[in-house]
Amino acid sequence: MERIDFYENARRILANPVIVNAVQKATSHALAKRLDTISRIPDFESLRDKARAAKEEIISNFEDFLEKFKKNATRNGFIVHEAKDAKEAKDIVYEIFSNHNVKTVVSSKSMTQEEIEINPFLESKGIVKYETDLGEFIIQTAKQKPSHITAPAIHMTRKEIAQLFHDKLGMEYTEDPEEITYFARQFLREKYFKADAGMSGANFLIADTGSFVVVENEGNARMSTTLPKLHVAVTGIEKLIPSIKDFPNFIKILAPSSTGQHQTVYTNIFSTVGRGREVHIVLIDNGRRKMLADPVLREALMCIRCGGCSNVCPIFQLLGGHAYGSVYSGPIGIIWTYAIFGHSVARDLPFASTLCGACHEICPVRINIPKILLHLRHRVVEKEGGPFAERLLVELWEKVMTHPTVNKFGFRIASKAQVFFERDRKIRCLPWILSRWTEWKDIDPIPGKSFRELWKERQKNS
Amino acid sequence: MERKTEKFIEELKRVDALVFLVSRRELSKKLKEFLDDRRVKEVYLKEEGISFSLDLGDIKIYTEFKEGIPVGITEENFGVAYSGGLVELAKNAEDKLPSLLPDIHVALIREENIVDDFSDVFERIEKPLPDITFVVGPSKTADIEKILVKGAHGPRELVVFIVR
Ligand code: SF4
Repeated sequence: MERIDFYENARRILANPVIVNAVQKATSHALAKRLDTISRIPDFESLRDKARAAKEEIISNFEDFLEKFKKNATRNGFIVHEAKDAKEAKDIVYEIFSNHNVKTVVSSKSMTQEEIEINPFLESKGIVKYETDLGEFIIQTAKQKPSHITAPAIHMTRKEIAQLFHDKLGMEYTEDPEEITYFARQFLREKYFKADAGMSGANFLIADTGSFVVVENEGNARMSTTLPKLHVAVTGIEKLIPSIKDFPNFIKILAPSSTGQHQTVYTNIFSTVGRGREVHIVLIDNGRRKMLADPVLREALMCIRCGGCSNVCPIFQLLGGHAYGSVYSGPIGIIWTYAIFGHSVARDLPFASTLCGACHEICPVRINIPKILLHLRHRVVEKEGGPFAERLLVELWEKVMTHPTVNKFGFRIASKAQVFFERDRKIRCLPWILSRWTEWKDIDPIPGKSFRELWKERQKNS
Repeated sequence: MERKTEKFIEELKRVDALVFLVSRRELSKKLKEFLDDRRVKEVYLKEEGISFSLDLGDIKIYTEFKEGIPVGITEENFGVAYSGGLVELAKNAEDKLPSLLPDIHVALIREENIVDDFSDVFERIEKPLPDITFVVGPSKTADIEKILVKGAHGPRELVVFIVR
């Protein structure tokens, strides 16, 4: 992957009021619903603690739980595979598909599938894969990328979608969301019945029962996992939870933190294979064990991908998911992108945060995201040395602040020189390297008298 | 009425389910009335999944799905008062279809199978676990401009008969 240019992405998005408005609407809508829903869950805070404790258990005993899951899942009749990276995962999926002579696949939304970029791979092998979640189907048809974890097509207007379906799929032109939805429903119905295989991700892997869980609202995951005789679930190894007894705690915090629903419409817990079927689970590492070994990053493995931290993040609210240039967007997405795709790809991203702490506050499993982001900034600066201008400024500042004479004259000169840049009592535009600063914020001018001078006067007068 | 039944109904209504509370004796009659009201002539169900003896008169019952059948009937193994969730257990994938494929899902549930919370469900299911589906309301999406549309890929309507 190429280096993600967050600033360039941000500039492009800010120039597009449609995206900015849509994202703001989507995030504030989810947040308002969340508040309303959790007001009806009196033990919400203690549910969060319990879920967190269960994830901590997983993190501190990871390999044991994974073994347990694999053993129990195999006993359930699932065929379990492990892939160390994206390439291995894709090869495994392809092998399963070739063995079954699979030509078309219906798939329900999965971030992990996006992470390993399985769609272009399958396409190159001549396998047609339909995304069946409406939002994903829209962006697949438009050949775009998701802009929000639970509302992937939020950046598109109904006009654009109507035109797209009309041009590409032959829909009779209508801007009515209900009619567009029913058109997609009809279009995909046929595909479910004809597909040779269904794919899904998993929200949870339950160690003590060997079950995996897929939550959804549309029924497309149910279709994809029941109609074709072959089901392949592709999922990250971090989705483990210890026991089915923990499951209620997770299911009670997931939807409220995500879309603000009390519960998603469908919660599918798979524990059997059933007559005449085959179910594969492909467990993907792809950098997760490295996160586990990293004392700072490992906490991010607890994420249950609710998207709450994105909804509440002031940066995300303004820009949406595309700015992050990665399948994982929003505050936790920065950490995941950095961990999985590496420093050179993601080195801008840790700075795409105000560190305000809202993500930490909302996270249902209480991941201290700002702390991790700050730490990643540290890593970036250690590796890159920080931008030249910033380094120079900090060094200058240090000199000025630690030498009383330099300080005195420095500020005197500055307070005289600033008249050239001052407008309406603000400094809005500084020259040369200082322009990087004033490009984004106005600063207050240096006052005519310094504190030291004021202090002296005061002493004299009294 | 029992407190958990009340809560169950309250939550079902919140997710736009249509709820009928009926006695065992009047179940067939009320169900038939509902189907007649909607001019339904054909229903889809899996007989082994239903423990009531249903008399639906001239309404044709299909045990295999055919495109165009408007109603699927299921009996739910449990109801969860906490969220208005209907719990369906399935050993085979095709058992899951009546609550998924038709436009209207009619769910029958015995009042004694309504439980307070999820944990009650997991305690009552014997191991090894079958597949478990929680159904909360009709299928829906808000992927186009955040506007809610009922009936995404699954049913557009959920109708629940609580049988006491
Ligand atoms: S970090 Fe927390 S809030 Fe963000 S997506 Fe993950 S679980 Fe949700």
